[in-house]
Amino acid sequence: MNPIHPDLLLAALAEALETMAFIAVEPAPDNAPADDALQVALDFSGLLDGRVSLSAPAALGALIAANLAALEPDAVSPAQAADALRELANITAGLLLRQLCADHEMPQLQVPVVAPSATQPHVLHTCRAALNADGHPVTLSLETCS
Amino acid sequence: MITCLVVDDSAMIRAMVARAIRLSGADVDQILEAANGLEALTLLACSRVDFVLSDVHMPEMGGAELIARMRDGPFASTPIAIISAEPSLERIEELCRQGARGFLRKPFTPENVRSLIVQLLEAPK
Repeated sequence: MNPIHPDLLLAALAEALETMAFIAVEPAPDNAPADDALQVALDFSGLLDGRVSLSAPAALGALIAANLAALEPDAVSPAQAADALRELANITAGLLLRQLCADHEMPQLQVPVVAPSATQPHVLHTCRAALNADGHPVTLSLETCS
Repeated sequence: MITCLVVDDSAMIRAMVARAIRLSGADVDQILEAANGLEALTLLACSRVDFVLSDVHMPEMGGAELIARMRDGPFASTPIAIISAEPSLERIEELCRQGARGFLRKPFTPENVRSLIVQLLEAPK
């Protein structure tokens, strides 16, 4: 497995946002999440166990959904905004694991979950990165357990 | 007239794929949608579909079982490709051994979609 560095998290998140939703990003301070932030997490297991977690405001989910589905942002429902953030987390986690793991050691990704249980047991290492996506603060974290 | 069937349990992702097909300029006239493999098989039974783009993980029936049912049933000549964020090349190759004729990894561009569609439509039946 390659060393985990915040730059890897930033690169994966930026590629996912820019390619899937045409949203430009820039690094940002790792502040507290916005009040309306949604938490999305994907657990992974195999030779490496852990969790990828994304925190972003619902407004960013609405913007992504609008761009993905060619909708007016005002026409996006809360469920669609959450769906868009789930997909952002899913794509970002896939990109990140490809950067970290050789194919023969690739863990199995689970489906993304909104508002996951608060903690992973036996976390050995945590890496976090924050960026600004079209004015919206986004944080991504990677916890590894083995 | 070319008809594509997009299979994903997320309406958002189906809309994303449909938008990418339209932006790609690919020669596709009609896009049908199904939320899982079972719905896809029902649509295949009553519609003429030229190719299928499917997710892997879906409730009721996932992409791997859809590939197997198509391969072993009356839709064996309809090409199916997988669209997924799956990071493992090994697991993708396994789906191709089972019968998938292509794979598109998320995130993708309209150009990626166009290349896949050309590949599917030019593949021998």
